[in-house]
Amino acid sequence: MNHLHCHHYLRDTDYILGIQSGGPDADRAISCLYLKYRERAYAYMAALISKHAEYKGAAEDLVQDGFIIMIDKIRMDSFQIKSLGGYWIGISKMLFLNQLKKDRRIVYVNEVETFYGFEHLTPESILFEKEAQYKLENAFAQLGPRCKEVLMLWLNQYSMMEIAQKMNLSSDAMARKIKFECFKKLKMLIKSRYKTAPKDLQ
Amino acid sequence: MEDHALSDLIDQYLLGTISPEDDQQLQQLISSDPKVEKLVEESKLAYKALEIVRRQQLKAKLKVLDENSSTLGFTFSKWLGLVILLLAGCFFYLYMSSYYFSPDTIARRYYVPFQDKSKVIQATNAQLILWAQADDAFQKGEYQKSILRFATLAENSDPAQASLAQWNLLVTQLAVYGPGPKWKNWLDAFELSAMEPFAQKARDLRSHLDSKSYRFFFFRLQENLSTIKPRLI
Repeated sequence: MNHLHCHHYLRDTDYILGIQSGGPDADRAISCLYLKYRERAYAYMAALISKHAEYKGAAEDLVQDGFIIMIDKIRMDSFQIKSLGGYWIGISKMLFLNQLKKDRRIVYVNEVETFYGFEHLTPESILFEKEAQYKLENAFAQLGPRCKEVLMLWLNQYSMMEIAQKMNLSSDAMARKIKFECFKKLKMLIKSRYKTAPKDLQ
Repeated sequence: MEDHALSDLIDQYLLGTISPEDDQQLQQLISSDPKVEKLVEESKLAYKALEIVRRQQLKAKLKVLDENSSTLGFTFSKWLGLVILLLAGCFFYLYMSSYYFSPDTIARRYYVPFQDKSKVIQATNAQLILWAQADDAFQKGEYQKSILRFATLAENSDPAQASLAQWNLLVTQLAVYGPGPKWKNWLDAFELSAMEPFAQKARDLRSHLDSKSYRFFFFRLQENLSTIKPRLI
């Protein structure tokens, strides 16, 4: 953790820009953002969950899942949230309330669902989603370590030059070629796992 | 369009970095060419697989951050707090010990007020006044004044009254001058000549002053502390 040098004077907008810019800056911004608000998020969720003995110990997972969802939204959206800490807690809380709703069949807070963009999940959709996810994970697992690394770096928006440097490749052209081949291989592996057309399974 | 060029276009589309012009071009290709449409759909699915793995990797990374930061938190906050508490405890113990073993405190512990012995000691009104003055002066810390009163009372013909006055005189001198060699000679002489229970008190006081803890806290520590104190102030 020490090597991160997370500056306390960074504002939330700096983290958002860092994450959206991708590459090594995004990795650092994600870690720093997590460390900045984690205690607050844990404290809030622990207090919320303490009222429900059956969910004891679930705070950690909920906080982490909430953070991952927030990062996904930052990556995808043009983000206009003022307080990331509050937003993160809101998502974690929503995840918990969704879980409660699922377990107890009680509707708690519909308006929060709308605000955070959650979809209504049915048991069938969850099962279907899990199965599809397993197939995709399985296809990725079949790749070699080099392919896995190059694809993950590309996904995290490392430039081809950065990928080449990180993986000790001769040039960015070589990195581009390896990425192209690996992505093609991944598509083939996924295709082989689906009997029907991929489009129908999305 | 060539494979690599189309692939780059799809990459930008997937990563969300595609320009509006390129996006328009890609949408046209998708709608006009079923092969491109299929390629884009396959790429979306592959991209989704990568996103799933990325979430798993991020979760693993967060767990590591949690472990590291909780360890670090313990090191910095709890260990530091513990060390500070321990140091504060040590200083408090040393301070209290140096107070406990100071001649003034010892004198107050061994001092016997006349009231405690008033039932067994007979005294005239004038002597009672003198005793009251001596006690009062001692309690107020006016040791020189109480020494004079006790010196007068020590000349008393009643051995019980004289022993009590001599004992209190010795104890008051201890508070003023400390346990010097001359004072110790007086204590030796008193121990031999005094009646019980004062002789026993004298023996107790001697063993207390000869103890290792007293020697450490009075002679070594107090001297060192008196050297440090002005610097700290």
